[in-house]
Amino acid sequence: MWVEKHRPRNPNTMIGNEEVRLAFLKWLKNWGKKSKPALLLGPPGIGKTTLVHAAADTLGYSVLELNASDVRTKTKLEERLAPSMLHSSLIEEKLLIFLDEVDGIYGRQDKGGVEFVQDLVKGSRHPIVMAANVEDDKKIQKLVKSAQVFKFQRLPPKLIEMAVKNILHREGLSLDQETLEKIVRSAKGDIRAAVNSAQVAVGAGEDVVTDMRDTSIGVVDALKLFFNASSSREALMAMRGCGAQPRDKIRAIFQSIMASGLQGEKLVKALEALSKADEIVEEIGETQNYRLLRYFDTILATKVFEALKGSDVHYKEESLPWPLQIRIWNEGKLLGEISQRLAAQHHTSSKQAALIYLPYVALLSKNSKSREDVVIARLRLDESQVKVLRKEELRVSQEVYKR
Amino acid sequence: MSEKETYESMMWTEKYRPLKIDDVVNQRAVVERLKSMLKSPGGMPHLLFAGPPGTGKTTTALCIARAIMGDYWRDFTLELNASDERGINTVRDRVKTFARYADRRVEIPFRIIILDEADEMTNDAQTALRRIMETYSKGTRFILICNYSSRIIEPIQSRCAIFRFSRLAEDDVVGYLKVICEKEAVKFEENALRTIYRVSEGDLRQAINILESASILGEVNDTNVEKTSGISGKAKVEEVVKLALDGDFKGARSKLIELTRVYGLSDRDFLKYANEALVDLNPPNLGEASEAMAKYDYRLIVGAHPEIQLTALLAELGRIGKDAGFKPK
Ligand SMILES: Nc1ncnc2c1ncn2[C@@H]1O[C@H](COP(=O)(O)OP(=O)(O)OP(=O)(O)O)[C@@H](O)[C@H]1O
Ligand SMILES: Nc1ncnc2c1ncn2[C@@H]1O[C@H](COP(=O)(O)OP(=O)(O)O)[C@@H](O)[C@H]1O
Ligand SMILES: [Mg+2]
Ligand SMILES: [Mg+2]
Repeated sequence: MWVEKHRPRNPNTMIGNEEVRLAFLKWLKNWGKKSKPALLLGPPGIGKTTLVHAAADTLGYSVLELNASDVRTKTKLEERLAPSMLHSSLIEEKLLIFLDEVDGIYGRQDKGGVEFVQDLVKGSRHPIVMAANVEDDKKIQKLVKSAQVFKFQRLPPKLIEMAVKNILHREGLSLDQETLEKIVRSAKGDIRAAVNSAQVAVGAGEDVVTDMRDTSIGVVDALKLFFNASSSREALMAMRGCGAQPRDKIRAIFQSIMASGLQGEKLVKALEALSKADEIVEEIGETQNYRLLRYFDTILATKVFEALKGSDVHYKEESLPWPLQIRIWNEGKLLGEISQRLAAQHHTSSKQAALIYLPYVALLSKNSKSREDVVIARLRLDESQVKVLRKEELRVSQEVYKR
Repeated sequence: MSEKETYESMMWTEKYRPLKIDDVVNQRAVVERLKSMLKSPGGMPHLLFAGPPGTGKTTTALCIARAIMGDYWRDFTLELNASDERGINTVRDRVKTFARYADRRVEIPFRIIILDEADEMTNDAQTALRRIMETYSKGTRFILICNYSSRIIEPIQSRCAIFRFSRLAEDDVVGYLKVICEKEAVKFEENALRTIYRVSEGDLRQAINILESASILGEVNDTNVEKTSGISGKAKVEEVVKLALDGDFKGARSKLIELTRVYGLSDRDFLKYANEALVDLNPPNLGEASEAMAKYDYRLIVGAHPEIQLTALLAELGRIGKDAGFKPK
């Protein structure tokens, strides 16, 4: 397989993401016991895994790699890592611990995986490197906070073309410009995808390239086909042809349904089916029975699709009403801070404080300026927090007086 | 209000939080057992308090700390709220560090760790706690507080003496509210105090909050109680459930999003209050509605996406309300 055969062994021969690559090398060179772990984030096939191995190689580290496919639960992580953490100080071997695909490690954070990694990372004797595709994942967010993040981007077409041409050259082969361009376009910034389709194209001609592009449509295109499909069968094809993660498919369908304003029985049925699909995906992740994913697209294409039949749902991202959106941005965080301080005053959790004390404190403050001053002083509110408190006062008093 | 007000004197829930175990209202059985135990505090085991909200669990825990350690109680008590810090890391870091810190500058029998809302702790965190409770038991006692003791793993329950707090009775609540009204020189109607009891369902914290805000509006009468009891987050959740049952899906959902994203309501709390609200509203097909709620709760436990699950629940409640011809009051 070309992608393995031509995997760069030296960081300097890699293509694209120049700056991040250098930054990462620098991080590893200067690594000390106080260093944070590194977290490489970026889309597939642009060289994260490759870089870690190549960099380790050049700097004389051996790599202990754990990835999503084999080790997931805390106990298992511990089992595999403990010996090396304990003994390597005797052997004095330079060891780099590489947790690849951390976004896939934990089915559910309750398993303690994230916490364990966070613990592991503290005071490790060895550099720790993690890699992941998504960053908006809740679980990853936790890691982002405690790590030094290196963000990788998709590669521009020019660089993809260069990478493919390099390999063709080494193989002593060539492709016509048109095919090459198709390959580059369909790869969407993913070198691995480009190299794979180039290898196939060399042997099989252009048709395969076209096929390959069609089968990797993004979630947006897939959903357009899905919602326009005239039968379950067609809807299934649309879902199967989409390379997106099951969770992304679910969320995109959910957004579209919400944006469409669907109502009544259709809404109930569609959401129930979607929610069931969501449960299945989580259960699969939890139990590691990925085989069961094969039923997932079918569920979407039958239950969800049937429920939506004859309705006017299109692919669309839901946008919340503007005033609500503004409040989420402007007030959510500040209210959280206020609630945290309230919680300390009332021996309760900040979530409870927001729900049970905040409205009453707001009403009290609204009613008397001197009491408001007491609240502000006691909770040590700053200017922006005071502003939200006042908004809350208004809201509560309006509510009280309208009754 | 002649002397200068402080936050503590202004917020009646804090002002009237008992400082001594003897002043805790209504929990006779618990109080008697605790008092005899406090005669020789050295023999105190770890404690587990279970019971509905606003019945004096946290208050009692603080009273114990005060009784045992006197003026120093703050220095030797760690108060942690598990629903804010529910992970194993909290246990490993904060709890462990505090528990094993041996230096005691004055003669106190042990330090106390109050783990409030412990039923919100993850299983991992509880498991980690288990070893700590044993290892450091010489110098540290735990008081775990929860709503449902069944959510505390067995090995931990077995390491604790369990105390059950009961929902406060109507006369106790009304009596306590009366005392407050008299001390604060607030005009009140007896009947309004009973209304407060009904809406707060034996939760004295909520009862006092409503009492105080009604008094702000003037006197404590039914009108003012009704006006102010609706502003708490619990009432908002009830509103969401009502709207949903009434078939106003859009309205319910946008309220839900406001609660979760602006006010940080968790999906777990939403379901907790929604379930109470549902029982109160008592739609004709309550059973079906409860089943729906259990179904989505289960999916959330598995790790499914909260917004999708709760939204689906709202839609389904709409159908259930319609089937039953539900009309909210
Ligand atoms: N920057 C690059 N320069 C040269 N070849 C690359 C580069 N990135 C990827 N490749 C090719 O793609 C293959 C896969 O790359 P790698 O495994 O490092 O991807 P990754 O970024 O870790 O992706 P994933 O997110 O799937 O883990 C490599 O073996 C190599 O052939
Ligand atoms: N049994 C009680 N006796 C006296 N006051 C109580 C009692 N229960 C609750 N309260 C009042 O409600 C407030 C909250 O009580 P708390 O002990 O924090 O409740 P929880 O049981 O939820 O921990 C207290 O500050 C006090 O004002
Ligand atoms: Mg990789
Ligand atoms: Mg409490």
